[in-house]
Amino acid sequence: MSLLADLARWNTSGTITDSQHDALAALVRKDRFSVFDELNALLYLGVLAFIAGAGWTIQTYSARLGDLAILFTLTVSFAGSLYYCFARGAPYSNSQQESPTLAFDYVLYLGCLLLGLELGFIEYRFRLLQDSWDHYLLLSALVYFVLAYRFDNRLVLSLALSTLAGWFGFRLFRLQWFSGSLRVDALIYSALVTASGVALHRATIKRHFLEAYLHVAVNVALAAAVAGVFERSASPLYFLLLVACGGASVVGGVRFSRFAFVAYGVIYGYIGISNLILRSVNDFTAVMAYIAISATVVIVLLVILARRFGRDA
Amino acid sequence: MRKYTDDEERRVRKRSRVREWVRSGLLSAPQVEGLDGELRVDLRRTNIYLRGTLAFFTMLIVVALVGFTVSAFGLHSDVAGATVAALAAILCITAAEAVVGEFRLYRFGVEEMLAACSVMLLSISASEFSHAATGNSTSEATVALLVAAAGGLGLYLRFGFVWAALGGMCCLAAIPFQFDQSPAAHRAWAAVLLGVVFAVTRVQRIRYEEEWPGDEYGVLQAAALGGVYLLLNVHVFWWDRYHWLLQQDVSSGGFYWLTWVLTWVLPAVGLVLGIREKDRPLLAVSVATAIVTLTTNKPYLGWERHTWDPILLGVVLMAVALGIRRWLSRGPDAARSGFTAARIVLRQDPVLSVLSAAPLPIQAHTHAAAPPAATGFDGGRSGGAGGGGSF
Repeated sequence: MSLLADLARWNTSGTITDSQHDALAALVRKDRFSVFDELNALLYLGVLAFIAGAGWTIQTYSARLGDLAILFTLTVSFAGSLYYCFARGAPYSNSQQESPTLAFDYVLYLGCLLLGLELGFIEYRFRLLQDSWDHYLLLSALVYFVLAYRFDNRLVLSLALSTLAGWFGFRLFRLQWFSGSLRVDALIYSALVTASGVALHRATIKRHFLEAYLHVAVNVALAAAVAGVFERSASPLYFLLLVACGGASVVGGVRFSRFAFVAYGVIYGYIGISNLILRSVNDFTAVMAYIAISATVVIVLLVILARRFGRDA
Repeated sequence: MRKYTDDEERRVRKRSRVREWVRSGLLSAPQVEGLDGELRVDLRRTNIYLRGTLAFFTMLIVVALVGFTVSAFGLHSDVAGATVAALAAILCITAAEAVVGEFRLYRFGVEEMLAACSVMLLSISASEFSHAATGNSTSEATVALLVAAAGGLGLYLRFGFVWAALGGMCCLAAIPFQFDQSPAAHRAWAAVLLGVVFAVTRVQRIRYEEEWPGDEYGVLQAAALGGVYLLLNVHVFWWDRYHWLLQQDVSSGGFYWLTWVLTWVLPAVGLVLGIREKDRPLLAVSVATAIVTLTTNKPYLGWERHTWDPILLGVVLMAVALGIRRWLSRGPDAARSGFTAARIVLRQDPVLSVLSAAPLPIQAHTHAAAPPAATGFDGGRSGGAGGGGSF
């Protein structure tokens, strides 16, 4: 039986009202078809293309355009986007707020990316901070955090978190990433992000941002711990850290029904523990046997978990 | 043929749709409680994270068991390896059948990975046997791709795995590239094959529309159109300077200009069909291919690319989005021909909640407070897109 027929039957039996039936039937028949997501995707791609082009143009033509013209244009654009947001945005609220217009979030995001571009250009041209150029990242991260909270913009919050990670020396493209102090930086970053997210959540300030904080923090912490376990000369504390963080992630994920965290804990934990166990095993057959047995154990445990927290179709 | 009955497949989708309506405030939870018995299905599912994790560990088990068997028994010859792979493929598909039959798993990860491994192992086995029999690397790859394409289709028909059909389509499109022909012939034959897939899936999509299995055919139809486009746009793989992917390529001649025309025609046709039928997958693919056409038009015509081209593209995309939004919201009831820029339903996609931590335009479902039970489409404020009018 089709969904339309079901709706008619539910309406006849009094399960749904006439107005509900009409509204839902219109959706099923596609008499009402939302392109909300598609328009958002177009705006996002538009912002990214614009920023990529602006960066490329500045890099190529900075000498011809002149420093002043570039700085003026970027500053005015950033100020313009801020003006738009302050003029159109609702007053600050600790709770989640709807964007006043479709373009609102993307104007702010564009402004923030332009600020990043401008700071990068200033350092590239004038080298004001020289070896301490990382502080540009800290400055922009702070600005992004303020704007993300002021305008309830998760895109900008993600930008703030990744920029802060950059300041902590967590640079993905560096060749020797996760070696030595970088790993410690990552753990400090993770702890700070977790603490900030939890503190703000407890203070009922933009509680809906917490999950974004935790996704970033848990992945960074577990990746750093796994990297520590992989490096034989590193402290054995990394293993304990991996077990503790992985366990906490699984337990927290189950408790709060956020199963992405269960997956993080299980996968990172399995990789780290397996590395430790297989470190001294050189026999390929034994390695295969270990993987087959251990993966089976994990599956059994996961199936038990899935049966408990899974859902009927 | 299908492991799940038609009734089960339909109920799964109805249940999912009803949950979506509850999240969106179009139905209330107590109302749905009354429908629970009617929509209940005797199938076990899990959330996407556990599903992915279970699939990952299932793959580890299969790989480790095959590796263990080969290593422990010293089966290193081609024929021995091919035999082990074939036996493992049979075991995998048998196990997939068993766990679905016995435990009534539905998109649980385990049965999906077992089925996928069976096709991959069968493909490897066929390829190894072919190599042992002919010593010809072309036939080896062709056989592997043929088996994988047929296997993907088989998994779709048996279990309804749309991802398997998509994988099969990719393998099918790769087959012409194994033969010693001109680059134009490679692309043309591959496009013809996917064109046939598009035609077949389109007939089914029109027949069933949104009702199952029409939703699956809708995805396959859109993917086939996207595949045809990618094969015919010779400037898409611009980074492939060493022709790793496409060996030699087409850079002039009648075929080259025909593909240029088609890079404009295909997105236009897709858009017209997508808008006329309000077909979301087709719309998405058509818009994406239209954007690719805009970015590859200059290299097609041999015009110089400028650093500000992306700026122009960005401005165009933003202007189009805002223009459409404005035009739709000024229509009667903030809609035109049924299209609206307002958000109506809150779709639940758990993957989005993970991606919401990345700088992507995704709102985790958990962010959104479901509006109160409504009598119609009163919303439209979410994201500010809507005109705010009631329906």
